[in-house]
This record gives sequence, structure tokens and C-alpha cells, in this order.
Amino acid sequence: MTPLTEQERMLLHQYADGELSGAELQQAEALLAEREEARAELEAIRSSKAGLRSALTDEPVDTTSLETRIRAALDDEVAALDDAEALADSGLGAAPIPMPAPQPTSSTSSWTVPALLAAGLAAVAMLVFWPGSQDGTDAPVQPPTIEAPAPIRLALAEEVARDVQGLVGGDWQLAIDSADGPEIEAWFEEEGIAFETRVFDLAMMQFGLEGGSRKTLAGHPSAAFAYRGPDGNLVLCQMFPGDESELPDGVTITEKDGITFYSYQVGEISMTFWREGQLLCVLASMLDADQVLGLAQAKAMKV
Amino acid sequence: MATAAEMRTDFERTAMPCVPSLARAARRFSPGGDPDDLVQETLLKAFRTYGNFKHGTNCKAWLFSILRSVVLNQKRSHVRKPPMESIGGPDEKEAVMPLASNEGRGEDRRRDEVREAFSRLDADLRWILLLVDVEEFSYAEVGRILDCPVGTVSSRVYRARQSLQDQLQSLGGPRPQVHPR
Repeated sequence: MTPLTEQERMLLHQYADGELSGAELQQAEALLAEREEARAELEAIRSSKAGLRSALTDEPVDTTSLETRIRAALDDEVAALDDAEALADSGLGAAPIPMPAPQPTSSTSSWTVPALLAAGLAAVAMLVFWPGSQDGTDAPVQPPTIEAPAPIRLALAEEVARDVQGLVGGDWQLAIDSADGPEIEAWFEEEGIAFETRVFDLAMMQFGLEGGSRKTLAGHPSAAFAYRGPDGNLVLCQMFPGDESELPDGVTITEKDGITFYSYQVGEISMTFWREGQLLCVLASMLDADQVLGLAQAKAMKV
Repeated sequence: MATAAEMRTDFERTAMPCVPSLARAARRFSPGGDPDDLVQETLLKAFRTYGNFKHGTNCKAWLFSILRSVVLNQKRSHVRKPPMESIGGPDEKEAVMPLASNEGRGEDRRRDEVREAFSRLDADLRWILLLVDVEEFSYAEVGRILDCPVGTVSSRVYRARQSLQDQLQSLGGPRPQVHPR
């Protein structure tokens, strides 16, 4: 018997998990039809999955008291929210609470909506970046310097916008909650971020550090950290290996203290990039473009 | 716009059915702590951001992503303020559950061994196996929960199952192999 290759074994794991389709599915089925070892491997994988599931789910879990605890804690939360609403009604406090947005039920992944949002942002971005027509009558007025961006470049601005939307919308969470910059920097190192990160202190501008996460931007590992401003607005900063060649066209360029800043608007997200050594940095938010640029200019460092 | 009470009713209907799954998962990631605390914190954090949740999307996956964030933060806080005996200890490992006695029935012993082997895996591998094999999330959903690409999920699933088999072998001698040696 010829042992299966690692690639063949991985294929069988994906098959056992129902993750294959198209040509890969056919490849796995052919492998199973032809090779006894493949059938034995699949049987062992299924046995392992069933054994683990049985071991971890057969233990009795009585959540009655836990659910009672949670409901009591929710009572406290609701009471606090009611107090806030009463304050709002008196003209002194916050706005009413938004309910979750209804979405059509579907069997597709839970992340379809963010994906559609990203597509929507892409469409908005195309409007922002795409050049006007020759006669200028059927397109939004654009600055004359705007050129059609290469798709891969546009994707970077979309990715940044998507990350902000996702964080604001609760589609992803900060992996570390902390207001301590050095602690977050140490955490990035633990998480395998291979470059030196610099988590800014924006307290002077009344933006409090919320925490950080490891993300991916333009295929690069990115150190992401977030701040919340006095009006509750989130600002997301990301640092990742790269240079200006990765930036989309159609940019507003500003220079200050020998540093060049590249600002973009993708839908409601304003963002400003700049370079620090081998890294690209970006600040992005739903704040006004000028505010985002101001924060970037306050913290950028010439390297 | 809804009142807080209306939002709470809607939240309970949507999120509370996921509590048993969350509780089972929390039990695997609560070294030296109360897993119920993790679940309660997860639900409260979810309630506070419930206005951003989109109905029709996968609430359980959303709650698991919050649970993982809560677990990571608890782990960090343990590192920051380590109890005297816990440095290098169970912050990366599940609280180890005792094996059944030799007199225990065979099936129970086998399950105990699987739980023990699982507890010895790195946290990343435990998350992968829990989400894929126990909670039966798709690779794409797991990628979103763990914030990593689908390809990484696939390779980690493979590695995690191999590691689990290695641990089972070290615990109980010859075991069924996932792949030929």
C-alpha cells in the first residue's frame, strides 16, 4: 500500500467536514473510489470527529441557574437603559436604542451581510474614484486628477473601510480589550506580528484606547487598534508592511513636517494613510475627513 | 426604535437558546475560573451591542466570536495578575479533568481520555476542534470567529486532529490512527 500524501489527507479532512465542491470534491471521490487507504483514513476521521463530539457534549450541562443569573443581569442592564431613556426624554441624554436591523433569513453564511456591505462600499468607492465621462454630464463631479484605480489597489481602501464598518457593526470584536498602549504592543508581539508596532496615545485629543486585534490588510498581517472619541465615534488604526505603491489613486495628498498623508473617502468612511519606515499606517473612521487627517498628522512620526 | 424592554425580549428570544453551547465551550476555556462568568459576560457584551446585530445572520457564530474575545481577555488578565502558582500554568490549558477510575466503564473511560487529550492541546487547536467538530460551524464561519483565512482553518483542523490522536496515544497506548504512520 502506498501511503497517502499530506495533501491527500488534508483533502479527506475537508471532505469529511463537507467543505469540498466542484473539482476538489470529484478529486476526493475519485481518491476514495480508488484507494483503500483513503477509505480507511476517512473512516478514522469520522470516528475521531464523532468521538470528540460525544466526549464534549455528553456531559450534562445544566444551565438553569446560569440562565437565571443572566436574566437578572439583563434586568440590571435594562433598568440602566431605561434610566438613560428617561434622561433622553427629558432632553438631557442619549437617543433611543436602535433595534437590530432585520435581514432576510437565508441558509448562507452569517457573514453574507458584511460581504454585501463590502460590495456596496466597493460600489461607492468606484463612484468616488472613477473618472467622470468625457462630457461630464452623467457622472458625479470629480477633481480632475482622479484616475481609474487598479482593482487591487482599490481593494486596500475597501478593506480598511470594511474593517471599520465591521468593528462599528459588531461583526468582529477586538481580541484584546485594553487602554494600555504598551500592553497592546506586547500582545501584538505575542501574536506573531513581526514588526515593531507603535500604539499611539490620543488621550490629548480625548480619544481613549479600546484595544487591538491582529488583522490582514492587502494580504499583509496588520496590527489594528481602536479608539473611542468623546462622541462615541470609533477610530481604527492599522499598521502593516507596505509602501505608497499599494495605495489607490484618486487621493488627496497633504504634507506636514516632511510626512506625506494620503486621504480617501470610501462611502461614509474617511481614512488617511502615511508611511513610517517599512510600514504603512492608516487611521480610519466615520468622523469627518479633516478630523481623521488631523489625528493622523498629530501622531505620525517621520522614520 | 425600540424600548430597552423590547430589545431585551428580542435578545432573549434570539440569544438565550445558544447558552448551553456557550456553557459547554466556556467549560473548556476557563482555567481556574467560573465558566458561567464567561458566558454571562459574553451575553451582557452581546446585549450591549445588540443594536448592531443583524437578524437573519448566525447569532450563535456572533456569540462565539464574543466568547472567544472574553476568554482572551480573561487569559490576559490572569497573566497580568498571576496567582502565586499559576505562572506558566493553566492559562493556555484547559482545567484538566480527572480520568475515570480503572473500575469505570469502558465507554466512560474512553470519553474521559478524549477529554483529557483535548485538554492537553494548545488553545488555538482546541478552539478549532470545538468549533468544527462539536459546534459544526463551516470553515468560513470559523474563519470569521477566529479572524483568520479559511485556508488557515483548514490546515489547523488537520493539525488539531493529528495532535489529538497523538495525545490519545500517549494516554492510552495504541489508538485508531487518523493517518498511517
